[in-house]
Amino acid sequence: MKHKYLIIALTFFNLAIPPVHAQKPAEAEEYMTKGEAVMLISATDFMKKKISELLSWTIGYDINKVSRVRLTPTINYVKAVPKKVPPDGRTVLEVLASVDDPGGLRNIAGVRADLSSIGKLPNTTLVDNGLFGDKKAGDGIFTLQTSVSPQVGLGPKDISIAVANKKGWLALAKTTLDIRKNPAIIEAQAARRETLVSITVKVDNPGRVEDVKSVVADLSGLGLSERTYLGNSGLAGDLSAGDDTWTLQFNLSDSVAPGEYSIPLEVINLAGGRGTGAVAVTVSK
Amino acid sequence: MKRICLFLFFSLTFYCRLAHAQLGEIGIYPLDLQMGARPLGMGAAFSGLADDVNCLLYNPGGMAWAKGISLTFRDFDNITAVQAYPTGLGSSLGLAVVTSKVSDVPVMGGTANSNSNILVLSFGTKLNFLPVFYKQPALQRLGIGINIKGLLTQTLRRTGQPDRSATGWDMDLGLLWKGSDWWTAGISLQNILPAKALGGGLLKWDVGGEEGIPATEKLAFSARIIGDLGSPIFMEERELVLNGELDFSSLHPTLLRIGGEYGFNKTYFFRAGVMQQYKPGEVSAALNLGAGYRNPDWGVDVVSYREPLRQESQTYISILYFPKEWVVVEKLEVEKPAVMLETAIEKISLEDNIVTYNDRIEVFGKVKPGVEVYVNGLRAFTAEDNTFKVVIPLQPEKNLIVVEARYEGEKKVWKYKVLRKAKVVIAEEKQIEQQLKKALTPEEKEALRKKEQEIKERRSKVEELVTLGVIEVSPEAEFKLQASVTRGEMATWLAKSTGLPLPKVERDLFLDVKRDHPLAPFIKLVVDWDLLKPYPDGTFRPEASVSKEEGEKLFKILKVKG
Repeated sequence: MKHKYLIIALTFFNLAIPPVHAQKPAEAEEYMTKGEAVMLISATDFMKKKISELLSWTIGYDINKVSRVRLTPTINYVKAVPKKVPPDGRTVLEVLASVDDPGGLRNIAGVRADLSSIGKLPNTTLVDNGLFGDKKAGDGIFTLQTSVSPQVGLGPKDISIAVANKKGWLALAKTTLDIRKNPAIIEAQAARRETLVSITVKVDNPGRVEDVKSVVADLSGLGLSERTYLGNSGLAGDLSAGDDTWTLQFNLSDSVAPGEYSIPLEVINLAGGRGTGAVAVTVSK
Repeated sequence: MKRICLFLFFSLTFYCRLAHAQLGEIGIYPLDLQMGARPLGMGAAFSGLADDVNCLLYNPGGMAWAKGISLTFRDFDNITAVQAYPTGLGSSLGLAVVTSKVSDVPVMGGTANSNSNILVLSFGTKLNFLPVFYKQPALQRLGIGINIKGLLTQTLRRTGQPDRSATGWDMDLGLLWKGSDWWTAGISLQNILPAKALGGGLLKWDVGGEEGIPATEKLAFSARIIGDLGSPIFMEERELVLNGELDFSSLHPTLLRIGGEYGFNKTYFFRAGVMQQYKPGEVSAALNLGAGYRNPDWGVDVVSYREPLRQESQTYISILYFPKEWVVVEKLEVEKPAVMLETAIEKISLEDNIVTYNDRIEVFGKVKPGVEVYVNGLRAFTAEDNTFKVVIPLQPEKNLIVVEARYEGEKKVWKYKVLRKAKVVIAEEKQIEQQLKKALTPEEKEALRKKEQEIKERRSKVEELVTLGVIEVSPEAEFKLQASVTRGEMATWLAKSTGLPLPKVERDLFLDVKRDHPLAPFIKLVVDWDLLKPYPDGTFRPEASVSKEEGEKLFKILKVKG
């Protein structure tokens, strides 16, 4: 619309005034300076309107004039390892945050975690210096090693991470931890080859597998010991040492009557947690 | 749960307790409080908006956010005073005193006169005051409220009947949900107490007998269609709010009320609304018109309203007072003082209407404890001493910086306008500065200062054209005012300044302007419009200077005197 009026105006003036013919400048001819041209252009009606709008504080300041440039740091992910932790004050909990920034990693001013939900400081620093559990310096993965205070109640707990950059912008993210004390027997199987019985038990321990103190089977129903320990050493039928599966092999006595026996299982961890389960062993003639 | 709610809602709708209704048969419902010039100006469709202290009368759900005092009057016999005091815990305590008189209402066998004095105690809060809901964003936007309404005295004089008076009390419940920045919805359940429950729910006449108080349920909605950031249609300093409401009661058919408010500069307001009203045996509709004025701390509203019983036009005036610091308990805890969002930002580096040459601006300041700061929608880091400092890039021309203070689900927005002008270094300005240093005589200095002033004025014009993109000057280059302007430059500046769309160049224009010449579209445009002419030898000579004569003729075409 604006253009239409301008075109009409220009057409009118072109009809009314003879066209300007370019002349080859003579040596002594005066030229129009840039300063003069600027003043004349500024004095045109269409430019006056534009300048007036430019300098107006009531026109044009709308939502499109809000900068949408990405300025905040980016948190690619936050994770807690392990995801399930006992409140024992000794199991190492690693909090990792992968971060980035529009101005590069050097623009990151700091990464902090609010550990108040697990009984620690609300403003703890994560590092990316290759030390204190951080695997590689300067890779954008910030790390923090901590533990869950024994006073913390069981259940899910949020750990929020705040990343600030040197331009003063902040990004927030969080991860959720499951505070659990008791280990769980998630799978128990019994296999029998003639008189040799193998029991394998898969354990889900809050914290590390190494923190499982013992996995015990009560074989008294089969005429054997009341507390027989399963092993996780890679020996005596155990396939792999240090994994989450414990194994026990034993021979059935001839005196055991045929039938199905439920063998009680118990797992105890260093945090003082206890989990129970059972596995069925079938004895036939 | 939904079924239970619907059952309760509709049971209340059809719940009516009229024994021998002395007032009801005339059409007087003393506890049906519809006062306040602003709500009436919007056809009394206010339960869905409920954004000022008058919400106490329409929807106590809005009390969670209410504060201030409102005094509404028609004459000395019809005065309503409403007050709401924020507690600082996301809730408000309210108190209202309503005195009203209805005279000469035509009734069978004569006329009737009614006087009533009502006291209302109110409390509204957000559900997130409960620790378990504290951080639930949805509940931070949901207000609930309750009114206890006491009819202290109600007198009735009817021709041919003995004078009588009554007392009684009832209760209202309200919900207000702020769905987003631009719309709200409300439910208001009024006079919900069953008859005789806790001694309320009815009027007791001194001459004996009781009269039920009819319950009313309001389902309402409000939308700010035009308004500030967050509204569907953004218009600075303009606001259009539309409200709708359905009133259900067993006493009368469903009443529709619709209204709106149009505001300018957050200062002047015009209101209109269609208000359906009931009097026994008849539903009438009237157009209410109102206007209002707002100051940061106080306001005044006026409305022309049609009273249904005598079908006469009445004018109500409301005076409102709502200071920023208005709280019952200033500090609840040392660690967590109550925050009034209006004063959440203690200081900020920005002022409105900033002109700068810089391509970035620092925004820094200090907020009250617990307040989160967002600048242009991005969260700013707040240090332990509650200070913040961020850097924002500025685009050429106009920039709007939006600063938000957020606290427990509430937010307050401030906007700052920044004009970023292009910085241009003028070669002659430097020369003048040097000459001024060397000048000896006062006359010489005076002449140079005059020249310096002229150059500054021209610099300002150059900067405006550079800011608008008409002239391109690289930041490190100097602009020479005295240099001659070339035909190519003139073509470019003219084409850009007119804003005309650039033509497509599909073949060579002149011997010296091939189709891929960077200035070809600009030259084609000015030649097409006969602003500049080519030379007779078939060249355009973009590098040639524009002669004075040529320039003067050109600007004559453009109606500019040289």
